This record gives sequence, C-alpha cells and structure tokens, in this order.
Amino acid sequence: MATASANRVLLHVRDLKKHFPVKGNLLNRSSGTLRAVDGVSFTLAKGETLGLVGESGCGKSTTGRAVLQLIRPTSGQVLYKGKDLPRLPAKEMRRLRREMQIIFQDPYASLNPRMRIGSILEEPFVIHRAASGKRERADRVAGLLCQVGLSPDHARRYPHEFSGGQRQRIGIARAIALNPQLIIADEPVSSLDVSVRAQVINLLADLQDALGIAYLFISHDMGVVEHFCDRVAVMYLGKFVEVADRDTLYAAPRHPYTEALLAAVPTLESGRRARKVFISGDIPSAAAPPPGCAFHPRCPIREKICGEKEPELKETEAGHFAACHLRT
Amino acid sequence: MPRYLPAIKSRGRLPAAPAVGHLPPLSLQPAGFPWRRTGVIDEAQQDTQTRSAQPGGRRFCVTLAIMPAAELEVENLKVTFSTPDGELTAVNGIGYRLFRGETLAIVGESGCGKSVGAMALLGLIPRPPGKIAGGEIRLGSRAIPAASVRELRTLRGKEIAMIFQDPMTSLNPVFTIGEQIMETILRHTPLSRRRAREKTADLLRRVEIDRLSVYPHQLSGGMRQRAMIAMALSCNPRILIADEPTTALYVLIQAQILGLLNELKRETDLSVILISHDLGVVAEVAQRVLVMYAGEIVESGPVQDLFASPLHPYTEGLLNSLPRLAATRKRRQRLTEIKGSVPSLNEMPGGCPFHPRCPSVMERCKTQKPALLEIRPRHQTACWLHEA
Repeated sequence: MATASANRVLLHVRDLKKHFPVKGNLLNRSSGTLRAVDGVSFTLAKGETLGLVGESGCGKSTTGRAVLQLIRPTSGQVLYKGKDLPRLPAKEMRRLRREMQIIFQDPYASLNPRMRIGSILEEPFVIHRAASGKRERADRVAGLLCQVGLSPDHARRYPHEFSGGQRQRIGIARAIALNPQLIIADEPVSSLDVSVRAQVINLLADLQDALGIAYLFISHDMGVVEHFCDRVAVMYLGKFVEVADRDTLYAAPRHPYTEALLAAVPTLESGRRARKVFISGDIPSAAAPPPGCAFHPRCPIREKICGEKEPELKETEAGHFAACHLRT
Repeated sequence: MPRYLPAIKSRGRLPAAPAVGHLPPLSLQPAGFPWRRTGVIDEAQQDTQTRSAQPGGRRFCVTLAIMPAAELEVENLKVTFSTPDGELTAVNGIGYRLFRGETLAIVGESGCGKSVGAMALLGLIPRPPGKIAGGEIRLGSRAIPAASVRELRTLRGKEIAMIFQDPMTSLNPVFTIGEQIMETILRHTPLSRRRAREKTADLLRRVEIDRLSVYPHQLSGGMRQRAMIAMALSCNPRILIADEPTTALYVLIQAQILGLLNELKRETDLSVILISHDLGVVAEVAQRVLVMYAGEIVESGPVQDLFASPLHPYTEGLLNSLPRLAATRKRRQRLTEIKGSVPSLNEMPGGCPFHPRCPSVMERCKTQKPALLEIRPRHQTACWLHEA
C-alpha cells in the first residue's frame, strides 16, 4: 500500500473550493452561491489510487475537473509536483497538461463522432508536438490501440462503430497517449455492462502496473472502488466526510454516511445480512446546505450540536479522517 | 385453460378438501404444470386412500393448496425487427412463469433482449420495424396471442404496469406528476375527478412525495422514480414490470426504492418482473432468476441456487466478473473477464449463441443449439455440458 512520503507526493490539494453564482429566485438564501466544492484537501502519491465516492450532486466530478483546471477553482491550492496550478502562466500549464489526463464517464459523448479513431488518438501528439511526423504518429496510435486491447486497423473507423466498452477503451487510449502520471477517471465504468466493466477495470489496473499512473478514481459504485482503490474519500455536499485506507474504510467506517452507503450496497450474500439502516430523504441542494453538519437532517444518530456547528475533518487514527461530532 | 388449483384468496385459510374422485388424473393436467409429476400428488393420493375416512383427510389438500398458481405465463415469445440487414431476431422463443407474490428477475447485458421481451408483454414494441413473430401470453384464465397488440393494450396499466429505467425520459415533462397519475386513474377506473385526485395524493404520500403539482424536472432522480412507481400502482395491477428501475440512481436511493418495492409487494401481493444487469440488486429482491443471452434464456432457477452454483458458463462468468464487497481481501485480484462481447443481432453465431466466448466450448456447441432442460429441482439451463 502506497504511503505518501514527501518526495513521492504527486498531487497535493489544499482547501479547494469551487462556487457557482446562482441567479434568480431559486433560493431563499441571501448568498446566492452554489458551493459545489467547499474546502477539499487531499494528497495523492505516485502510482496510488484514491477513490472519491459520493452521491450525484456531491461535487466529486467538479473536484476532479477543478484539479485539472478544466474548471477554474474559486480558491485553494492545487500543487502538482510542487507547482500551484491555478497560478501558473498558461504556457507552463499547457506543458504540464501532458502529464495529467482525464477519462470521462460517457463513452458516447466523449469521442467526437465526426472524427475517425485514428484522428482522435493523434490529437494529443499533434497538440503537444510529441511526435515527429505522420508516420510516427500512426505508429504511436497503433501502439496505443494494441495497448488497450483493440486492433490497429480500428483506427480507420468512426466512434459509432464501436460498443460502449470499446469506446471507453479508446478514451483510455487517448488518456495514456502521452504517458501521463495522473489520470482523473470520472466514473469510467458506470455506463458499461457488467462483464465489460471487468475488462475495463483490469485494463486500468494493468496500465497502472505498467506505467505507474496515479488515479483519482471518481465513482459511486462502492464495489468497484473497493476493488480498485488504495485509499477512499467519501464526499457529501462539497466536503469530505471521511477519508481512510480502503480496508479500514470498508471494515470499520466511522462516519454514519459511510456506514449507510456500505449497508445500502446490494451484494450477493445480502439475503443473509441483518436489516439495513435506511437513509431517508434526498440530498439537499448545494445552493442551500443545512446549517451545521450538512448531513445532519438525514443522519440516524444526530444530536443537537450537529445542527449548530460544522464538524471538522479530524484524524482519528493514522490516515483515517472523519468529520463527525459524535464519532471522533 | 382451467385452473386445477383452488385460488388462494387470503393467506391462512385453506379451502376444503375435495374427495379423491374430484382430483383430476395426471394425464389431464396441462403440460406446463408448475410442479413435477412425481412426488407430491402420488403421495397425496396414497395418503388420502388410507385416511379419507378421518377428519385428517384434509391433509392432502394442504400439500396442493400451498403451491401458488402462475399469475402470468409466457410461452414461446418471439420478437423480430426488420432492418436493412434483414429480419433480426431480438427475442427467440422465450417462455416463463410468474407466480403470485414473487419477484422474478430477468438478468442479462445490453442487447440480450430482456427489455424487448418485457415491452412485448404490453404491446409496446413499435411495429414496424418490430414484429411479434410468435408466442402466447396467459394471464389468469385469459390467453392472448402475443401478436394481438389491441388485446395486450387492455392489460396495460390495469393488470400489468411497467416502470422504466430513466424516469426523466419516461415521465411527460410538460405535465405535473399529479396530472399524469390522475390520467392513468381516470382512464382505467370509473372514479370521478375529485376522487382520482384524492387517490393520487394518497399514492404520492405513500411514496413520500407530498406535492402533486410539481413537474418532473423539479424532482430528483429518486423522487421521479418513486412518482413512476406511484403511477404504475395507481390502478392496482397484479403484475409490475420494473425495467432497470434503479440503474440510473445512486446506491442509497436504490436501497430506498427497492425497500419501497418490497413493502408495496407485501401490502398488495404484487408480482414483480425485475429486469436488471445488477446481480447484487437481483440477489437482494428476487426469488427466481432468468438469465438471458442473445435473445434466449440460458439459465433459470431460484436465486440462491443460481448464484451459489451456476450451471451455465455465462452465468458463472457474470458472477466472477463482479468486484465483490468483502471486508478483507488481497489487493487487486484480477477480475475474471468473459472474453469477447455480446454478438450483434445480425452476427448471431450458429449453434449455441454463447459458444464463441465460452471457456468450456465443445465441438457440439458450434453447430447444435442446446435446449432448456431441468438439471436440478426447478433449476434449468441450456448447455451441452449438462446434458447426457
């Protein structure tokens, strides 16, 4: 299991925030901001996989994009190899982009339908001037296709000629084209069929072993996260509520939200499991978060203090953080 | 088709025992009788002959009466689509039974025909290009040819209701959910508008939505799905078909929806056909499972049996490719993959449709298609590995 020693830390995010202004009378709050990401901090070491789980609307995709500067953060630091990305001049940022890539969730929307696969995979080389001429580009593209388990003559086809799993592989090929060190995988297998998921997850794992890539693995599927990640962070309404090693989180979660998540996952042995805790209600809007702990209206163990004071993310044991008044 | 089983109207009270002479001989029983022709009835008749004079003579009827009757029976359903590549078969002669109060899960990947098979039950396949090429649907005592869409339409909403995968695209965006539910009630029941409105409010309250005059886009995904469930149950159907109802929803919401469905099932004795590719969800809520591949049923049986000891290599492959939630496990064991991918309809392999991807393929599999046979009690599969 990778530990984050100082010289192996690839990414250090400090107090990242992304707020969107909201116009109109959708809110009864005077502030008028949607706090999609509201103070998130974590580190990611070389070759490590950090899972980011949470409900839709909790801000995990926004976090991933803000790290890559696809969305400009409102405040906070994103230190990639010591350099603060939001404050870098554009030219340097563009050079660093070779090392940070993203795999998107929807394999049907993330490939340009009007370009052949060969052109899509050539683009990184063209943009970053990473290959000397057409012949070399074609060779590299063929190599990429083989690496993801497709055939080189697929380069002449269009995206619509492939299945969802194959398109996701093409998206992965595009992401690894320039040998990145960091890949944000934003729900890479959620829209794929069960047996295809296994293929794609195995591919991501193989690439990590071969190329030493660090992943920020964003997902809502607890089973896949458990299989693939070294550490896991649970997010709720723009903040982390728990961060821990994979084994610790799944065996002994501290935050009630994490417990509810783990209890809600249907498994094959569930027929014999004890009755679960149901969390009722729906996630509140990030534009109007509840006072105090954002989770308290739905929390089964809430007390008075939970509605008044916001809990801090505290370290309860080495590497295990939780934000709960009652459990830390 | 006459029902030989006395209908069980309420639990706990068993009907009176008929005299032996009224029991139909085995030869007259319909071919698709739910239980085997060995064991139960012979034993029962033997029992009666020795005990018919006693008050305990009721006993043999107990054995029969506990067996539930088939709520729905589908036989040899075949659905094809005309395309520029010719007539493609999406569903290739599937048949199954749904018993009262049970949840039957139909499992398979995209393109296996599970959704098409379910929509065909309600006459929802667009024709053209679709065509119901054969089959019969039996609901209670009614037998309806699958091709008779007009008749099937009378069942829609009233006897059989359906909820779909993505509630945002299944709910009409320009009407409030209250109006959409009222529309269903007014169409199928003789209630007045005011009473329909009250009933709608009740239904929505039951699924924890407290307002009628909201539009679908104002609700979250989970709430929309709950609204759809309220709509589906508004006319008290006997059967609910749920086509991937929680796939698009987050796991916590999924647990809520599944819990709600279970409660409603218990309250109303509903039978559910659950279509899903998520084996975990299936294990949680279903009693029996059908596994479909390329338009055919390749395995069917009780849920625990099927998952504990699958017979068909495809089922086994699906189970092995799941990342299981376990408290401690070696890091990153490689998931077992099923090589290849689901064949497209115009490239169906000959013989057994799974043979190009099967790890245990034999010569026979390439040319001959295996039939669905019972290998263990109530556990069937279509695979040459298990046939003599």
